[in-house]
Amino acid sequence: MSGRDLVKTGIAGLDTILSDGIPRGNVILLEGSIGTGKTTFGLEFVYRGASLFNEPGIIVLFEVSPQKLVRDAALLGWDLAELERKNLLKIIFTTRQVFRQELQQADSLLLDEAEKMNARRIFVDGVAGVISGNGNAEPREAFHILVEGLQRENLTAILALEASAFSEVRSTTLPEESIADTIIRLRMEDNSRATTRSIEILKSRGHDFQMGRHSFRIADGHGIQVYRRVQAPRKASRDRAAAFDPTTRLSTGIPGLDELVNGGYFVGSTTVVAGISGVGKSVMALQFIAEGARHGEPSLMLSLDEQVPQIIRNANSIGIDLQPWIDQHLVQIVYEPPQEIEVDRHFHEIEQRVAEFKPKRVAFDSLSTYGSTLGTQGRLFRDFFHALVALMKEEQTATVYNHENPEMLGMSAMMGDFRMSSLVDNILLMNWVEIGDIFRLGLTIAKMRANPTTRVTYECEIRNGEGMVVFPRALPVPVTRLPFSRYQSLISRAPIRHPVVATADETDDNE
Amino acid sequence: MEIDDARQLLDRTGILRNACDLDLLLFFARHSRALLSSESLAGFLGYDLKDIADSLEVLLAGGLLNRKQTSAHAARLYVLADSEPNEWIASFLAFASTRPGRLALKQALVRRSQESGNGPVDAAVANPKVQVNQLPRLNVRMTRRRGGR
Repeated sequence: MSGRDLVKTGIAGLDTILSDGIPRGNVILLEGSIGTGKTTFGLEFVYRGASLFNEPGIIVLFEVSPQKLVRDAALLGWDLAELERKNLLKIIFTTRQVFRQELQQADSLLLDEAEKMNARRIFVDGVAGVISGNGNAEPREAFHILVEGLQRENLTAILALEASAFSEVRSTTLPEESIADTIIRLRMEDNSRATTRSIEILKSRGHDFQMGRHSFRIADGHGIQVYRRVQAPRKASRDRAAAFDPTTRLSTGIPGLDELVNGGYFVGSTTVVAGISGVGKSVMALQFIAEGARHGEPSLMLSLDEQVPQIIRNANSIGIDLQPWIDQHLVQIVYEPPQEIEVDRHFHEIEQRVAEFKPKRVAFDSLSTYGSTLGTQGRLFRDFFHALVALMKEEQTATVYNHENPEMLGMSAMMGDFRMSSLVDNILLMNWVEIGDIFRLGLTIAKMRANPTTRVTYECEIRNGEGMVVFPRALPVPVTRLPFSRYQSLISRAPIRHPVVATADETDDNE
Repeated sequence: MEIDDARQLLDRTGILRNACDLDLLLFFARHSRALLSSESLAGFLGYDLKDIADSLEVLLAGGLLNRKQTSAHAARLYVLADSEPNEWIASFLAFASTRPGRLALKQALVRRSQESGNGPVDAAVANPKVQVNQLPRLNVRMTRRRGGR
């Protein structure tokens, strides 16, 4: 889009969706019901123009007093009075009737003000009455007159249209919508008793933009933050995410496991550790993170299940002191409450964190909590996971996702309802194996993309002060229990000893 | 004492004569750049057109307000003047930001009018039920009168 005269909105996250901005001179119809954030949106458009891009702007109000607007803007951290003093902003209070007449007149006082300050942007808060209340003129004609007046002055305009003027369920378009160059719709969306805000670009002449409903928030001290919907196509540069380096391995940090995964997880790989609650998935994640820290690699653990102090305490119990690494900024532990996750915002924050922290290792605990929050039946979870995998590959991090498989004994599917195993490079299955009256723990490397694997089940266990340890296939003698290699059908929930004669030094406690 | 503070403030402004002047000034404090017709102003404030017109002239003559107009339009662009050191305006508006403060100002206007023998006195304005302890304290040192150097 080089050489195009695009107006950047300056609203965080929005210009990315708009492919760098809106063509200068476009008339933007901003639709939304009460409380969706139209005034804040228009205000920020003008404020950012003046404060970031030195583009003076005018705000036209019909109902809200300028004094209140200045007060409310201060809550968002914006000093409108200062911009007014610098002649970068004028807030004009008027009536719709006067405004309509003004835009039709060549000697308009309003447009004269705009010209004197070299205004480039204008926000009109509430145009419904301007259009419909125009005496003899048809609404279409009235809006056309309004647009002509704005275009004559080469103003990029946002015109807020209230809910009463349009309906979500209508079948026909409003005249304003066909005349406007850009239509942006703000919504409040109900989502299982929670309410989220969304923004959608319905049309925008003269440039590309990302379609669909994106999320946004209004935060005190900041203003509007738009989060691109997680499903939106990413930049072409993301294609290189498919490439990875299969020679550089990152140690798992789990004694005995590296040998089973060809020396460690490769850079940019995606690993799922699946198993029922209590098999040690979180412990393995902590060991993976700690191993990274020992090698001076920035390592990130994102938990939806346990809060940070609890994770640090758990790590201590297996001999890992995370705090010094956290203090050295080698390790970040982040807890995000899983309730009412706004998936676009959540993904954006992960993206930001990864971009800033540049971790070599990331552990998510757990994928199943995402599934229960986002639902596994629709596309949302699948698209979110796709985006997450692509992001981590692009950033060349080795990423481990814990996944709680609900089946206690045996597994009928690697990832249950998630059906995402094709996206994953490595799958480690953790299973309870019932032998005699003891549950023993088995680990099977079920998948290693582009790597050899024997799919042998190895015994492992969590040891106090040590964490997870994977035993060699042939246990050293003397042993108190038969090794797994003496059984078959471990995962099928009916382990049977091989019909071989036990040597004299092999004994089995269970027999 | 608050009534005295109100009186002192009014003396500092030197130009406000009546309730309409006061209400119009307060309106422009809230809408510091207003593109409106006199009819709209009368509608917003609930005064007769003539009162509004007179008060506009008072504020314009006193330099508190600037006006731009074109011959073809009924609407005028009114801009609250901000070029002077308006310390007194800030304290004036703070004082008038509460109902007791406004009533005290109106009462002071009426008293001043009575003392000078000018104009009729509106009973409601002349004797408002103002709780003196509800009035904001005037806590501003006013060192200069508008226009005085």
